[in-house]
Amino acid sequence: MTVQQEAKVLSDLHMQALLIRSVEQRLLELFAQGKLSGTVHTCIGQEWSGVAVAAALQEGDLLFSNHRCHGHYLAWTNDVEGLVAELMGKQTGMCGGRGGSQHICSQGFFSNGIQGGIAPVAAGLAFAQKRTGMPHITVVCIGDGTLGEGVLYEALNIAAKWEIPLCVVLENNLYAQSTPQHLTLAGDILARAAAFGIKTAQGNTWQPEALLVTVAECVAYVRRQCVPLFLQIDTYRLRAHSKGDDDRDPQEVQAYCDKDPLTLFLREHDSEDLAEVMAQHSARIDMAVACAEAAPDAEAIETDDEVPVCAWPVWERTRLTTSERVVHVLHQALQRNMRRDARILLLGEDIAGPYGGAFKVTQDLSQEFPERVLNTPISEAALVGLSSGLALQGWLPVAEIMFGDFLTLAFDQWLNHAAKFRYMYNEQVRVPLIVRTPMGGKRGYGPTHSQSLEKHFLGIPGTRMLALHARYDPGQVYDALFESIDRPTLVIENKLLYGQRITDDVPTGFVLEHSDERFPTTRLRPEGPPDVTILCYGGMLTEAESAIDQLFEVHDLICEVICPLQLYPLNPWPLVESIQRSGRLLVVEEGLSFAAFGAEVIAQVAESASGVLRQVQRVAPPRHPIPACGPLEKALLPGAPHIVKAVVELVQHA
Amino acid sequence: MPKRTSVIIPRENVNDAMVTLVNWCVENGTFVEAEQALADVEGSKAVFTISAPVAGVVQYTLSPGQEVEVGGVLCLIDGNEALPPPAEALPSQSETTPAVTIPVSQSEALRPVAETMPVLTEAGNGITAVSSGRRQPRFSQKAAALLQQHGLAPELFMGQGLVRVQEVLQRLEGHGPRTASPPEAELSWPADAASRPEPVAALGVPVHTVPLAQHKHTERRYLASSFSNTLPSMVTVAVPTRGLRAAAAQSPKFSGSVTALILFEVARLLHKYPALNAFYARGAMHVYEEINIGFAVDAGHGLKVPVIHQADTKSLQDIASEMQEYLLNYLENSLRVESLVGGTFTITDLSSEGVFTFSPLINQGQSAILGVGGEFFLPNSPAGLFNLILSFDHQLAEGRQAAQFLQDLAYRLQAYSAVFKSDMSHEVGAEELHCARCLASLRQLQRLGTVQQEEHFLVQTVQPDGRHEYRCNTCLQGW
Repeated sequence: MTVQQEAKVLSDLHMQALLIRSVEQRLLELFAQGKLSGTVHTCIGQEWSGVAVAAALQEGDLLFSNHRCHGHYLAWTNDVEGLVAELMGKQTGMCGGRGGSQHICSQGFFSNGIQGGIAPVAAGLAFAQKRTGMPHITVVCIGDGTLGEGVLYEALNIAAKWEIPLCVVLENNLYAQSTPQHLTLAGDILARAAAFGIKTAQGNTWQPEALLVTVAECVAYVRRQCVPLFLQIDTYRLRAHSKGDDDRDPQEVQAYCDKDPLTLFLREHDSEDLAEVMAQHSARIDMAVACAEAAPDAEAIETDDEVPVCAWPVWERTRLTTSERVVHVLHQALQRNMRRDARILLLGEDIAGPYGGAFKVTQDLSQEFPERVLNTPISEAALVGLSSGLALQGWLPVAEIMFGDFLTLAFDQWLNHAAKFRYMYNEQVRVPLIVRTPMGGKRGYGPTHSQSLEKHFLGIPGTRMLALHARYDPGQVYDALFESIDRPTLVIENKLLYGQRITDDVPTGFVLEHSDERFPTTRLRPEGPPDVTILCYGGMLTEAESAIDQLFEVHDLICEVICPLQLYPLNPWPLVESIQRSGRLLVVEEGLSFAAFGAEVIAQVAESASGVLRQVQRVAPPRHPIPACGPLEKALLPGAPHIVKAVVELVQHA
Repeated sequence: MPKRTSVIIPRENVNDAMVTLVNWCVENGTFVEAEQALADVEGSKAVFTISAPVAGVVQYTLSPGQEVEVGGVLCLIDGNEALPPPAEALPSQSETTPAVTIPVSQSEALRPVAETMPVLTEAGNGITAVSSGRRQPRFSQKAAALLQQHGLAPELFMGQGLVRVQEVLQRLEGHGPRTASPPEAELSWPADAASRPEPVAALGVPVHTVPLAQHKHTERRYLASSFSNTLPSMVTVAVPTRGLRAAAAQSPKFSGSVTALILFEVARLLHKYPALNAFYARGAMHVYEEINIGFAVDAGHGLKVPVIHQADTKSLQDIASEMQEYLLNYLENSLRVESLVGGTFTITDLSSEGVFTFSPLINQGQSAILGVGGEFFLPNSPAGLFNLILSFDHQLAEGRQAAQFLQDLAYRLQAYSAVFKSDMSHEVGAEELHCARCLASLRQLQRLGTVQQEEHFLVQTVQPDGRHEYRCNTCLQGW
């Protein structure tokens, strides 16, 4: 480039920075006028970091930012109109008014409002780019406050170990909301990255030209070497964290205002041309505001989940032709689907052969698919976040969480990231992510390795939850899932189920059937009028079966068992159909019952089929953690004897 | 959620697992009021109507002629708040499964079942179900114990799936008004099913198969069961009609029905012959404590046997009018199931068919059946006769007892003509000697003897009560 060309580029970048500031200032005004939804985290004073990053990136690169993302967004996309409309909650906003200030998605730009949580997702995006073989990279923007979040370090660890082309840009503005850095940050910022073996660099926004060079070098490095890099950009925000919450020393702030590069630039280049450009900016922003004001508000929808078809199911006799152990059936299902679809990846702890997973489901798949079965460090959050990023980029990742109890470590990734992307980004993305995990007790593993935590993950819009059981081929479940996956799906695999064989050998006098849903409901229909309907799922089906056998044999009571595969969203109609015949419902669950699956089902039945439910009861464990003592655990967790007792009491109580 | 109600096929008859849809009373997708008739459904014994439990729009997919499971869904009614769902929301037929409201159990019944091995329940209570190519029932422990206690065969419950104490009790109950149902026995064959020969068709002759109607299947089962649980024998007695029918026709008391008269008399006579109002099972005679007499009707709507319950307590008038009402119901196809159950004795009257004699089959759970033949005449004799045929279970009665029953009955029937002897005085001289049984006068006997070139005479007899009566030699000697 010639000197003039370089000067022009630099000038344009200055204009870009000025435009960002103008927009941010106008947003603050709009906020004061009450025209914005929520709050704004302006980047006034930090504009150059966004400008420098956007200038260094190429087409095909991705940029993931945080709550203070307007500058990054405008530098990357120049979409003033979309941003203003989005913050005003309008349908013309780049996310239809659903995301607002902090949750932006457009043209390769993402942002989310959870500090640190974005890091593994960004790493997943970069990892996906690496797998395509194209020289694209992902930049993730964090703040110095983010250094408090553990998941950030999980992401750095994996990024370094797996050589992921992730460029971490940390805007160090010395404050985390209202807390000055020296109160919360131990040690050195760059040393943190260096500890992972990640190359570091440093710049600041008061020397924009130098910053441009630094950022360009960093980005080039990441692109060339295909490894992560950690860039610290020192800067300062001249306004409050969000709005009206600035407790900083005014003198300190003023000092930074005095050396603010844009203010200085304006002073030095006070000219007609500049004034005209500023006027153009102003006019453009005015127009954006006016258009946004005229546009309709974001659209209301009932739900973004699938709505079950309001119809009675068609039932079909279940024929289970194999009698293999479930663990083998699962292994085969993963294998055949991985052979069929190259997008499927397996991630998890200890899943590679020869160990082959804690419950031996993945076995030797890493030998057949060496690049597609990935052992991760013990980082549940990063594991799920990385998988989300991969899913965003069109892969079909299957994340194994070794014990369902550990899923809590990834809860933020599941709830605030994977589940929400589709809706809050206004349907622009899909997250075809599968998380599979064993739950359940009766192996004496103790309080933190035996739980059934489904209830904590039920009812999250945008997700699906399945629970495998012994009377419907789990391989077929995965086949259907892989074929149709379009949203984060949690698959609960009961631990005891792994060793069981799949047969259709149900108690005499009962017919094994399943419905015509994609993930069918299983029914054990008695050859006689039912006295009680038993609802259960997962591992409890085996107990329920044993119980109905005893109940008929000894107590002359006939029960019908309804066992859904899909716990959420829930189709209540197979159950309602059964309750219409029996009038009584017993819900059996292995997890705690307070505000759990049973409570939800009973509420739905009461709402939708008033009058048919005469009596209802739940069977669930007592309200304390699961003890490690084996015999005690077996006595506490629901089993056939508990179910028998409950049914007898339920019928007698009439 | 919309308020959607399933209309369930009620269990009208303990024996029915399936019913057939005869016709719909309403159009699909129309609004119905509560209690409005929805459809006519045929069970094994009767056709009954199912009414709407609630008001709303009815949605159905069944067609007339299709079978539905008892307890299954006949149709849906969408409550008045919700709009009828669009067509695609209704359960739709898939290629592999039957229409939605035909539950799997029906297709299960049609599919050949491979369960031919004897089945022992898990408690090992020794109940062995006999292999016969149909689904064996499963008994609860208490049901199995009750079975053994009462000596019932497990085969009684074939095709019932799960059998509890209450199902067993229903079979056993012979007490109680209107709920009594004679014990049913399915066709049972010796344990070695392989030894039972299959019927062999004529070699090389083409055949087309006509499935039997459901009521014919039921009938077949009932009759076959009693055929295999009884030792049927038969006795016939001829009864003069002269005067009897005339009396019936003329007297308003009888409402024109001789069968009512016979039924009335049989009901009272059965007190004297309890063995004919009972059934045999496991080495004992089980006598019914009610006398419920069924009379066979077959006039274009199939063979049905409505029952006059506790006939021995009813007047002739009541019996006659009840029979007439049943006839009307039969013709309108509105016979209720209660009318058809609980019979302990049966009368089958084929006199209108001009039948001389026939072999009526004892009905299930009974030990006798009375057949009534048509009037016939001896050559050149104006005196008509008709046959009373009693088929009886030789395990409980004998020929002599059966004959005595018939004689008693005949005597009682004839006594009616004596009541109206005064009306028929123009036919028989009041002072003229005549046979007390067949009413033939001496003059008529003389004429008969001339024509037949045989001797016909009167013999004076002294009855146990001292009365003097005359019997002609034919009545005295029998055929």
